[in-house]
Amino acid sequence: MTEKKLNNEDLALVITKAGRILIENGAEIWRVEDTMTRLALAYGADSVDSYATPTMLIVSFAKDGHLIHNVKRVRLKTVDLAKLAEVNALSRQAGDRAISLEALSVQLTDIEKRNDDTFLVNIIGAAICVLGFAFFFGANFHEALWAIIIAVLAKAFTFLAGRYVPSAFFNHLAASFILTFLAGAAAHIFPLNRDTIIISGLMLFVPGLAITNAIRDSVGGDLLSGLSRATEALFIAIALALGSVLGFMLTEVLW
Amino acid sequence: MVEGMMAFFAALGYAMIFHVPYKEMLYSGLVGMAGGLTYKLLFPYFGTASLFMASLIVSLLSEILARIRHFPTSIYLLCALVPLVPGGSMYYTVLTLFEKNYAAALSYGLDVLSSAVAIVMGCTLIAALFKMKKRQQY
Repeated sequence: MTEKKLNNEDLALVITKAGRILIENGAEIWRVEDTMTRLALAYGADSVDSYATPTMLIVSFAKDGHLIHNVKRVRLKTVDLAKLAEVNALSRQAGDRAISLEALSVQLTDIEKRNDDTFLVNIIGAAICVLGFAFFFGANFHEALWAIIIAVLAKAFTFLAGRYVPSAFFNHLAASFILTFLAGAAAHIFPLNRDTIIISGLMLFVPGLAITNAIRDSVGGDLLSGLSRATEALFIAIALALGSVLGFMLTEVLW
Repeated sequence: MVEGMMAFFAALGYAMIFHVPYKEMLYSGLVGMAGGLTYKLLFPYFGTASLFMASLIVSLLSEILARIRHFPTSIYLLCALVPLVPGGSMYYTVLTLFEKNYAAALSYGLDVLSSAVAIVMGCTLIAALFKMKKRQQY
C-alpha cells in the first residue's frame, strides 16, 4: 500500500484520533493531554496546547508558520485497556522519532477499528469475577454457583441491551433489578443466603473505573474531569440502588 | 485468609472484562490478591482503616509494576481496586432503607462513606507521591 504524504492538518487529525482512543478506553486526563502534546512535538510542531475532558478534546499547535487546531467530540465509552497500552506504546515510539506519521496513522486506525469486546470474553470474565467475589464475601459452594449463574445472566442482558440502548443508567438499573429478583427467587426455592448472592453479583457492576479515574484526575489537577467522572459514578450507584429496590418490591409482592 | 486470596479471581475477572493485555492479567490478579489479603488480615485489628492500608498497597504495587513493565498504571490499578469497594455495606444500606429500618441504614451508610474515604485516601496519597514530577509546559 502506498501511503500518501500527510500534511499538517492530517497531523492534527492523527493527534486527536490518538487522544480519542485513550479517552474512550478509560485513560486519565493527564495521560491524554501528555500524549497529544508529545505527538505534536515529535512531528515538528513548535508550540502545543492540548486540552481534554471526558467528552471533548482540543489540540492547537503552531507548525511551519501556520496555527492549526482540531476539536474532537467524544461520545462512545468502552473499556479496552489493551488499546490504552498500545496507544501509549506508540506515543513512546513517536517520542523517540522511531515511527513515521504515515505508519502511526495506519496503526491508530487499526487499533480504533478493532473490536475485542466480545460476548464470550465478557461472560467468562464475569464468571471468574463473581466466583472470586462470592468466596471473598464468605459464600458456600451452592451460593457461589447461583451467584455465578445469576450474575452471568445479568451481564449477558446488559451486554446485549447495551448495543441497542447505550444508556449506562438504564443498563445498570436493569442489571441490578435482574440480580435482586433472580436471587430472591433462588433463595425462595433453595435455602440460600440471598444477600451474599446479590452482593457478589453487584460487585460486577459497581462503577470502580469511574471512581478510580475521578480520584486520579482530581489529584492530577484536572478538577473538572474529576468532578464529571464522580458524577458519572454517582449516577450509576443511584441506578444500582433503584434497580435493587424495584427487585425487592417485586419479590415482596410475589412471595 | 482463603477469602482474601479469592480477590485474585475477582481482579482477574475484571482484567478480562477490561481487556487487560494477556501477559499482564496475572499481575493484575496478584495485585488484587495483595489488596484483598491485606484487607481481610488487618480488618479484625484495624477495622475500616485496613481498607486504607489495602488501597495504599494496591496503588503502590500498581505504580511500581507500571514502571517496571512499561505499561500504564491504570491496567493494574483499575482491576485491583474494585474488590475493595464496600459493595456489602452499599447493598445493606439500600436493603435497610427499603425495610424502613432507618437506624441500621444510617449505620451502614456511614460505613460506606468511611470505607470510601479510606480507599480514596490511600489511592490519593500514592497517586500524589508519584505525580510529584511537575507537568512540563511547552
